[in-house]
Order: sequence, then structure tokens, then C-alpha cells
Amino acid sequence: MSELILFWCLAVLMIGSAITAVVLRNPINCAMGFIVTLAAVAGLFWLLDSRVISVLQVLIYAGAIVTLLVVVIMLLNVPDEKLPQENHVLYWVGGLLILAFCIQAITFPAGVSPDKADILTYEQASMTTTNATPQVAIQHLPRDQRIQREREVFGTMRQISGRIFGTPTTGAEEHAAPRFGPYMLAFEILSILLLVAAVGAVILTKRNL
Amino acid sequence: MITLEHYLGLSLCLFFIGAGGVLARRNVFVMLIGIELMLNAVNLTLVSYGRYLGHVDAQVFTLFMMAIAAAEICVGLALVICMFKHKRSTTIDDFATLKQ
Repeated sequence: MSELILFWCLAVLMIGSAITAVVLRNPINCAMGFIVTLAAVAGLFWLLDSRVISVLQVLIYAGAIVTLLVVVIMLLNVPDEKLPQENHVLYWVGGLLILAFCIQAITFPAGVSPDKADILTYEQASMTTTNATPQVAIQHLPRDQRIQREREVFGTMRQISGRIFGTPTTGAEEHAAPRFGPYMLAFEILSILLLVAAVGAVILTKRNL
Repeated sequence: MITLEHYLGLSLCLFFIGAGGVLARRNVFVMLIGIELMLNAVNLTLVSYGRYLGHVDAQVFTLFMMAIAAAEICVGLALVICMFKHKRSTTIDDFATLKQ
């Protein structure tokens, strides 16, 4: 029950701040609304038992991407009178279109959807994913198992810090290998993509090469 | 009880709000924010499907998408700076030169 209340709070916060991020005039206010949206989505990820993704959402999106956005907005510092004249008729047309699309998509579901039998209920999903990831669905376990699991999660953190500061440990690899193992190549290509993006950004903005 | 449809409806709304922002606004920054909102909606869909179908792989894909979003905003903002240096403006209508 408390999860449902939390879900609706986060949903209202997310939709409200997303609308704020899109309709406000000054881009810096839009960026602030965007941060709140990202925080609400991170909360939803947490509610979906993917806590690693939730933390990374805050770190990467709210930490890195929004910071970059805000820095560029403040760097360019467009004065208020030079901001683009928005066409408010378009807002109404866009809003109505969005509403129509949402109603259409909710009432006429698309043909490609998983079998009803494949979709797990909330409790079933908690049970299945508990075996796969060490950090899910702690709240559904009995007390002694929950303590054990929390120990595992925080133990992993301690092991990672131990790796940095020199305590002999194992464990981080065991948790990461089944997740990232099959995607090792994609992961490496992604790092090349990030490097290319960084180099491209520098070349684009450099005054004379 | 929260079902899969709850999350799908929510990410649908987020996606269309982002799409509306991209289509209706003329400020380049707000258009970039709209693109990011759409990417976030897709992330939410991935994670909720992964949760309710019992696949952990979806979280790995979400991680990849976050990195791609970071690369996209990096290049996008570089382009915005580049455009601003040429025309001293962040209005998208000033850059419709290919149309003329």
C-alpha cells in the first residue's frame, strides 16, 4: 500500500515537473524542472527494485548531463528580450495532440505485447529477480534474510572501497560478471562512442584548429 | 497494487510531453531537454518491462542508453554553441537556412 502511495506521489511529481520543464520561458527554469523530473524517475527506478540504475540516474543525468546543460545556458547567457518568441497556439495544439495520443495508446493497445501469462505480478517479480541480482526486493524477505542481504549489498560496497584502499577482497567481479559479461563488446564500443563524442564536441567548439 | 500498465502509462505520458516540447518550442535548450525527457521515458519502459518479465538484462541496456544520452547531449550542446557563435541566437527559426 505504501508503495502505491509512493508511486502516485512520484508520478504526479514527475508529470508536473516534466510539464514545467517544457513550458517555462526561461531555459534555466526549464533545467530546474528537468532535475526534479530526473529525481522522480530515479525514485521510480528505486521502486522497481533497480537500485543501481536509480543511483546512476542521479549520478549521470542529474549530476553530469544537467550540469553541462546549465553551464552552457549560463555561458551563452541570452538576455530575456532576445529569447525566442514562442507561439502559444502551438502549445494548445501540442497539448491536445499529446492528450489524443495518450488516450489512443491507452485505449487501443498495440499488437506487439507480451503474453499475459509472461507478465509477473509484483510479488512474483520480486522473487524472480532476487536470485539474479543481490540488491532487489529486500523489503519482501523475512527479517533474517533481509539482514543477510543488506549485509551482502553493503559488503559489496565495502569490498569496492577495499579494492581502492588496498584491503584484499573479492566480490565485485562476481556481481558484475553475470550482468555485463555477455555485453562486454557493446560496453567497450560505448566507451569509444563517448570518446568520439568528447573529441567531436571539442572540435566543434574550438575557434581555430 | 502497482501493475506493469501503471509504469507504461506513466512513461507514455513522459514521452509525449518530451515530444511536445521538441515540436512546439523554439528555444534550442528546451528542445534538448525534450529529447532527454523522451530518452528517460524509454529508460523507464525498459526497466519496468525488465522488472515485470523477470529479466535483469534490461538494466544493462538502460545503463547503455544513459551513456548514449550523455554522448548525445555533449555533441548537441557543442552544436548549440557553434550555432550561437554564428548567429548570436538560440532560436531554432534562425537556423532554417537549408529551407530557404
